[in-house]
Amino acid sequence: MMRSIWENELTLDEFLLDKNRVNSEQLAGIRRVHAMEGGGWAGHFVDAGAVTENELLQLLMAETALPYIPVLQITVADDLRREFTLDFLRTFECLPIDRIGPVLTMATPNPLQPELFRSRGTSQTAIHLYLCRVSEWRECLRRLQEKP
Amino acid sequence: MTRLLRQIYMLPRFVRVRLIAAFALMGVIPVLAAMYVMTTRFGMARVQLPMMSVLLLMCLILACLGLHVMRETIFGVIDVSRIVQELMRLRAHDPRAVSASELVRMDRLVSYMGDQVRAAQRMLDAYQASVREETRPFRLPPLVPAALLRTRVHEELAQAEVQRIPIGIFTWQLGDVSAREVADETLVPSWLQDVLRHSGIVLDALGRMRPGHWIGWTQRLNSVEVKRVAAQMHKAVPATLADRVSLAAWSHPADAVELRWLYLDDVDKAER
Repeated sequence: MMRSIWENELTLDEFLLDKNRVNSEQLAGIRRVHAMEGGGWAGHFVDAGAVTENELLQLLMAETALPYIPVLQITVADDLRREFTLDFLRTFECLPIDRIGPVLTMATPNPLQPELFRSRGTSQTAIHLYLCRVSEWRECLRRLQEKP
Repeated sequence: MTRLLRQIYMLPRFVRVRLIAAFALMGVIPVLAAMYVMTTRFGMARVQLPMMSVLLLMCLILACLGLHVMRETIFGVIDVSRIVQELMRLRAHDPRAVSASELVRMDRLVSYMGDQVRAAQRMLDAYQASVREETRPFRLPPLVPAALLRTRVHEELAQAEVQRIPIGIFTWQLGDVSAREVADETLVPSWLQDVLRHSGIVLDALGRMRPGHWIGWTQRLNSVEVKRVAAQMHKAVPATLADRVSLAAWSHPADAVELRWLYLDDVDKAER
């Protein structure tokens, strides 16, 4: 499944356009805001009111068959907090969860980002992705930011 | 091929343009060289179609190979952690495979790139901060997960008391809630989206206390400002809902919001 997402290289904006969840006019506005503010796609679509967090989660679960993980109950390990900068986590809308041997587990509200695999996935390291809601991911980031 | 081209779109525009220009040059140079050799050796008239086809095919292969090499080179610089990982792996197997000077060179390169990245990030951050006001009408405030809402409100109120920074709190209530809104706690109703977009401020957070009952807050808003914003919000409520939407606003700690009070519904409040 990981492989197919990676090879497909469909981004979230294209995906939502394909699924008719956003019209071209809305998309143009969101793209403009995205270009100005940066960050990840999922947050922009939710903030624009184009799609709700639950709808987005359901669409992505159906598309990718990735499982959902309740990230609010997870504490990110210290070594992973050091490894990933907050800028990276914000831009690529992800949260490292755990690293066991060669497997790095991450949660994201937007798995349609080839950069996620590219950044850490090598022949020695496999990335396992889980899905989460945008608000849950943001709350985790807020906690990471507040934690000294 | 499509995948390869799409990956190139990760690169900044000027790098993309140069890469494509290099690809074109890599295709043209072998053609010119081969044409020169053939015309000087055999004469133009004797160059035949099969030979030209082979020549063009070879040029195409060379150009694609060149593009691949260039692409790998560029991505090799971008994915610097992979290069370092590879160096470490080689050194672990055989310490002589990677010299100390190579490691020093890599260390200096990573420091240099880190500095460049931080400088670029600072410039992008400054630009994004400058256009935030422009994008405000397009954005809803970040939603707080329903399970955490009560804790978050409590934290925000406590923080406002301790730090003595006023916090403006707004609640909106509409009795008639669609089945879709009841089922999806992340669905911000359209009337509330309108109200928020025309409020003139950016809320720090928004959450649903129960179906049809929403709460939002923003720091550094005193009582006067809260009243002004609340008046603007009142105006932004669609006319068809104006008599059914109830809006309340406080500035804490000046107006001393009690958390339990926020969670009471209208009937409980009337009884008290």
